[in-house]
Amino acid sequence: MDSKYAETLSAFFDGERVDAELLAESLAQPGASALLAEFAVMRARVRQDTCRPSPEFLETMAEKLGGSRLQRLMGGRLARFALAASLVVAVGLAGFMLGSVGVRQRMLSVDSLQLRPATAGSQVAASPEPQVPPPTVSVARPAGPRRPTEGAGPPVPSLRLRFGQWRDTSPAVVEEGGRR
Amino acid sequence: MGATAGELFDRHGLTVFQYFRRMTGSRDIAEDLTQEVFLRVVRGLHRYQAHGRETAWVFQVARTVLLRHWQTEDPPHVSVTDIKEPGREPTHVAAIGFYEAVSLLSRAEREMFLLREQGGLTYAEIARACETTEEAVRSKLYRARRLIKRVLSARLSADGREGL
Repeated sequence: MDSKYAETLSAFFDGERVDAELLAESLAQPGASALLAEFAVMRARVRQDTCRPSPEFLETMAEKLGGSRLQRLMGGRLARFALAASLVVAVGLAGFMLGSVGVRQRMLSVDSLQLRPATAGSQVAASPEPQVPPPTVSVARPAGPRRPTEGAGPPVPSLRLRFGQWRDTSPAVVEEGGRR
Repeated sequence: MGATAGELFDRHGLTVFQYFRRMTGSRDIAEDLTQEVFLRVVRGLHRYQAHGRETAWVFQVARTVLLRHWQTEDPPHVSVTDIKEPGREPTHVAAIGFYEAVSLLSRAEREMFLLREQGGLTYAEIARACETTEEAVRSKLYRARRLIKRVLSARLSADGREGL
């Protein structure tokens, strides 16, 4: 077969672009199909290559490429800047979230105390929540003049008793003659 | 491209090793060169622009590594004069196998043949990797196939068989 036709068949076998007329002529040549079959056998022989690298080599490559991947992730100014920035943002976010959770927990404890006052039948159980001061309970009192000491610091004595002037006025036993 | 070096090695490591093994004739050298290729790939991965096929890029690196290796160490030289002369088949062809036939190709033919058959590169990709034209690739590939066929046919005739 003319090498022009054989070369066209070779390129056609490789999936390359070939002139349609030339391909038709090439395929019409005697031995064209046998030539294509031989190309196919050659390809199969190449792809049946049983030669393999040693296991030691594969282990070395796994180690080297693993390290290199890490280096690649850590390498580069942009990557380092992005890593630092994301760390700062993460720390800030974590602090903010921790703070907001603490405030929320304190608010919830106060709310629960105010919304569920203890009753005669209720049971008191230990709670892991932080101790908070009990809410101020205002007691309604009848209208009238307030004592001057009420709500204004410790009480101040207003009357001093002297035992020398003390008289028992209780209606106890009174002896005859007006003596006890 | 989105692939890690480990994934690239999984996909192309074996064919690159086999390419080097057939180009150099030495398993140890093939392993060294394969390692060099993938270390280069790791270093250049962030610079890689996906304008071509991944396979073509890896084999282009492989060829650069091979040429560098041959700058310091002479390539294995096999005379094919007696095989290429028409009508004069070598006497030792009966003892050689398929890869021995491949090793008898000229360096450029062997390289293009392996890039095509082992790497699966297109003519355009081979031309780019080997810094030549697609026409030259087409012509050399055909010559390589013709020579392999001739060698193996001679061997099989000597064995009393026919065909590849």
